Amino acid sequence: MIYIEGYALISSLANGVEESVLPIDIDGVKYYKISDIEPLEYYDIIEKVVRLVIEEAELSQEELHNTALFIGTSSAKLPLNEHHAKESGELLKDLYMSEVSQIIAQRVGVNGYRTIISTACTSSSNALIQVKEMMESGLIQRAVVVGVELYNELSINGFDSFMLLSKNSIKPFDANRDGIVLGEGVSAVVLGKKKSAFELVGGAINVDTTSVTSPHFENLKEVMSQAIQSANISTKDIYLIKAHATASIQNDIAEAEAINLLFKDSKPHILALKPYIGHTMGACGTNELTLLLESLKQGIIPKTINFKSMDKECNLQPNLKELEAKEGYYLLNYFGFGGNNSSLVIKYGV
Amino acid sequence: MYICAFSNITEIVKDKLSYKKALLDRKFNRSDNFINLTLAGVQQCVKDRELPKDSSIYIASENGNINTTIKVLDSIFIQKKLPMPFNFLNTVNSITLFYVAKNFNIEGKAIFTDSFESALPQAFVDVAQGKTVLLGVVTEAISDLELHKKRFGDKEIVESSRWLLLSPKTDDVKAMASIEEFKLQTYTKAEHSQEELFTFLESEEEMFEFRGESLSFRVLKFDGG
Repeated sequence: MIYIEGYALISSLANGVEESVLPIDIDGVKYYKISDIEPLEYYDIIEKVVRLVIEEAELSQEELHNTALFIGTSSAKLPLNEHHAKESGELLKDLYMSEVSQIIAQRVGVNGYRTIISTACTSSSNALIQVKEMMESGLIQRAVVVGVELYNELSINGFDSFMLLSKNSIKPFDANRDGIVLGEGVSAVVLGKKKSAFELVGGAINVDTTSVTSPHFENLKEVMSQAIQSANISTKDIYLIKAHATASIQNDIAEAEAINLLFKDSKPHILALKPYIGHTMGACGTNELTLLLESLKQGIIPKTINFKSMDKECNLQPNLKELEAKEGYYLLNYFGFGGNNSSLVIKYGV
Repeated sequence: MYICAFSNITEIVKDKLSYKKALLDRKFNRSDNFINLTLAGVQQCVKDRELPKDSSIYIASENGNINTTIKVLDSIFIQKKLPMPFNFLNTVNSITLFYVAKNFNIEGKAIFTDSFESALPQAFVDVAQGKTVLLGVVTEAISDLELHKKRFGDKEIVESSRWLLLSPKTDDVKAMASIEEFKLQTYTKAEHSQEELFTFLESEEEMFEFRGESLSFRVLKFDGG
């Protein structure tokens, strides 16, 4: 059995309660920004989150030595490279993606297997699934999984070039949704064998080759179904789905259709978390898992904000009221560019 | 774990990067040098085999799609304009996985990672679960060769796309070699690199003991392998 022994997150939510659900305006683009962070603090903020999670999971120096380190990130060193481009006009000065895990491992004293996984918006959710499978195979005993996505203009400009950015706010599954608001966040999760209230019981990854940008509902249905099967449960056991819910027109339609088809007999509650911290891309796997775990720990699952009117094409209504945290199974969806899809199943039991 | 096939495209760059699209049986309109280099390696490894739909794909690359990333950064920070949408898309690592999956009808797991030693243990787990795995290490050179030398030093400029087709033990799989005594270890100075593994596979040698930075294993070739 694979348990979540600790978790930590730094996102725009840490800016304070009043600002917590509002993106700020950067050069005319809405963005969920962590306050007071500079590009050159890249490694410091990752280290800070990793140290927080090590403390929460109470890992000893000896345990740390054999702990694996997985970093899920879409943008990797882009924030550093963009800093160089702005300051000196030098393009792609900071190379070698593996340096990110190497530097963090050295700073915190982790000396087990380490890897970077970079599969767009599924980077850190895929990392969680890979850890689960490597632990079950006996190759590793414990891992720190880190999701890293920090402010970079390449992502903003890239999404803008596809006209996928919202002018205002993220409104998942709403009839008037107009796109994504990006955000930054770094989070970490310790997966191990020490019993805790949260267990990672299932997960699946698949690749959908229908389109590079838009998922097909059949493949989304399939990855959810595979994740549920891997947990040895049925769709009726799922209490809530943390939807990927980017609020882009096509993605929400495909995800809603997949959910409606797979859960036609017993629809679970639907929760969207991106309206709270933005779409944090490669880090959204661990960021949104961490938000959900903390909500469960506090006993209340938040409502989905910004939803006002049902979209006929989606025909899916997220939870509009806070819910009581219940023991049971939670499905978390993550879908990325290149048809890279993953779903996780978490069991919550005090 | 068995090696059913491998490919080793290693090109020394003299004046300019070669035109990889010419090597491909199936060409994609929006693919760039990194994607084509990747596809050329996979094509040479897979040949006319039909892979199971649930096969996994692992691409290991330290710097990923380096030329298109430079192009997009140039567009944003030097020319101060929006990048071309599909240039932006090609900088996203999962897009290269998409092209491999599409070209070889794969619907299983697709993972982009940093290095050979980081990819192989993950592939090992998939193979232990009964899956076929395509694992490649792809290194693109910067097309501006002066910039390449500035970033990587004055050594020989090389582009490479090296692939392994890995499989579990089954009666119907024709393997050329086996990987045995696969072990992870705490980090130490590497004695071998992935490049040496591929050189061994091309050689007449029968056995290779790989001792890397974080893992070790033995490769044994079969008769005629």
